[in-house]
Amino acid sequence: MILCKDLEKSYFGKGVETKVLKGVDLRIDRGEFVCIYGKSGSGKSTLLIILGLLDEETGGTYRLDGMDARHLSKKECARIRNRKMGFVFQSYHLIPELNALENIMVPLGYAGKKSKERKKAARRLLGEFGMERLEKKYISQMSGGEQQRIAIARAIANAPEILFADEPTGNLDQENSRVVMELLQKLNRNGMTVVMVTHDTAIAKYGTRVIHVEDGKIVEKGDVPLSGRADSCPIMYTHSGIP
Amino acid sequence: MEYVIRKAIRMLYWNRWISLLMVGEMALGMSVFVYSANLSASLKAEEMRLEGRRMDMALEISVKNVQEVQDEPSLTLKDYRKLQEITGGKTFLLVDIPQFFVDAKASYEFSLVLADYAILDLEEGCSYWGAETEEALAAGMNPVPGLRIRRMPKQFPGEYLEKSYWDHCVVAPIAYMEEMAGEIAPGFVHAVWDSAELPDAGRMSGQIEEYLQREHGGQYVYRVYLPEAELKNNSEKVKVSIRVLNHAGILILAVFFVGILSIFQLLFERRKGGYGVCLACGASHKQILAEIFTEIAVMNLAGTVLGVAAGWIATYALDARIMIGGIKVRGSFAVAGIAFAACAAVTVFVVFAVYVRLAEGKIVEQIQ
Repeated sequence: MILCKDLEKSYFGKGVETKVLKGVDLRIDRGEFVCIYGKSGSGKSTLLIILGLLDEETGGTYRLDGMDARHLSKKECARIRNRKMGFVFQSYHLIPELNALENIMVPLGYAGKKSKERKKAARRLLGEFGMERLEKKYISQMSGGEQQRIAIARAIANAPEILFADEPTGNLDQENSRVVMELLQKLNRNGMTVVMVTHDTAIAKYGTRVIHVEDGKIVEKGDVPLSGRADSCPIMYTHSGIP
Repeated sequence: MEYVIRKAIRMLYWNRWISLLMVGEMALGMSVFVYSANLSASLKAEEMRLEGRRMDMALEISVKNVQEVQDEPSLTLKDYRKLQEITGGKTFLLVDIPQFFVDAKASYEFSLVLADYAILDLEEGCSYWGAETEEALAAGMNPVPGLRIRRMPKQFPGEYLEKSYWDHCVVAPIAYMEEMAGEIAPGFVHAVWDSAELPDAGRMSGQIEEYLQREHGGQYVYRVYLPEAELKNNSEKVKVSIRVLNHAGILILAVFFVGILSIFQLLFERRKGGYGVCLACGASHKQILAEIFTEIAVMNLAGTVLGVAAGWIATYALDARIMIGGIKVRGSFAVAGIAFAACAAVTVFVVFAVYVRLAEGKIVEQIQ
């Protein structure tokens, strides 16, 4: 599904080049729950952003379902993001002017779905998440956990194939983090590919595979336990995700 | 596109107080501009109407004391014959008496115009009915029943008045002035001359005034004047007032323009994250642009429609004591057109300014 070869990303500012990704080789198959783990500044979020077609790589290749991302126009990228991808962010990024139902309807609206269809789909999702009472609430009336679940509902409104999550539990307490991660696991079990970025080892173990990113490179990957090292936290996980 | 429009309206509603303020400001500026522009257009139309008119001299009759009852007519048939004598037959007289009839079915309104048939080359013993008076004729509302009925000729003397005027008239011989003396107010009498045809226009106007003052000076005041020249003299002051009003309107619109640009740039700066998320959710740049455009266009259009309507109403209903008496103040569609064109230009400019800032940044920066 996702294939990266020697992927690079540099930022240019005031004549200085900052290389954030320094040759990443990566493959993600359909149905996987991949956790991209690393410390702050390791380049993991940048990798996620490129995989999600939110930014362009400056070197190497990125193929999504066989398509070279470099050859996709902005319109095509928007269409792919709308139909095939969903995004969940650390700060939820719900639109404050819209209530919960309207926030969930956003990707449906841009997909050209009619008003009745949008409302029906959004209400169904609210029902599945057990959040019907939040339908007319605004973000100021919701807790962090509720906002993140609404954000997840928005991300999957168009039934995407891949869900990208950037530190989805970063602003949540333990209990809400557990609820959100179980939700992501459930989505993965139902066939959705999940690619998640985290700096938290406890959260990373929810995935079926962990990719360790350090200084713009993948240092360890696979579905085997990491060896203990002075500069890394050991991660123990199984194929099913939860120990 | 339906979703984009709905979302834009939703955003407008969310910021409804700001939206209302912007609409109000736009409406105020536009109404002042439209009102002043309509005054200016009316003045210009009057100047053009008088410009190059053959009949450039006119008789003005005013009542000396409005508190007193006028028990004698301001101009009689005898006076008309005297005026023709003074001017060598070059006097053109129309007496325009408004007629209003009501029956069980309808009401009928037209002008009974008394004119000299010899000058207009019309057949004596006939009354001439304009196209718009046919209904009144069919209903039997004939103010001059003793005359044969004739349709108004197609080639009526348009040099004296426009065709549209004659369509609403019934013309009868000037001799009826005697019979209808009690119905003829000073304002109904229109005596005009072509100064080029008079051997000594200045002396003759003096003679006319002197004669009429002698005959009826107890109750009326008579003045022969040049309407076009008088308008030009009096209109300078009016033009200054109109210009001041016009500049006030433009100033308010300029303040509004700066205001709307600043407010929208701030608003959209605040919403950058939201638009970034929309782009992440698969919105195209075109859809985001359409949303921004809809929001700004709806506000501008609402302000313009209200402003043009208010300016129009003020044109017809407000007497700001700016315009010279006698000039008919009318709304001009060209002015309304300019107002809407300005609205479109402001919309396009503000949308462009806001969108350029939004499009400059990358999606990921907007989300972060």
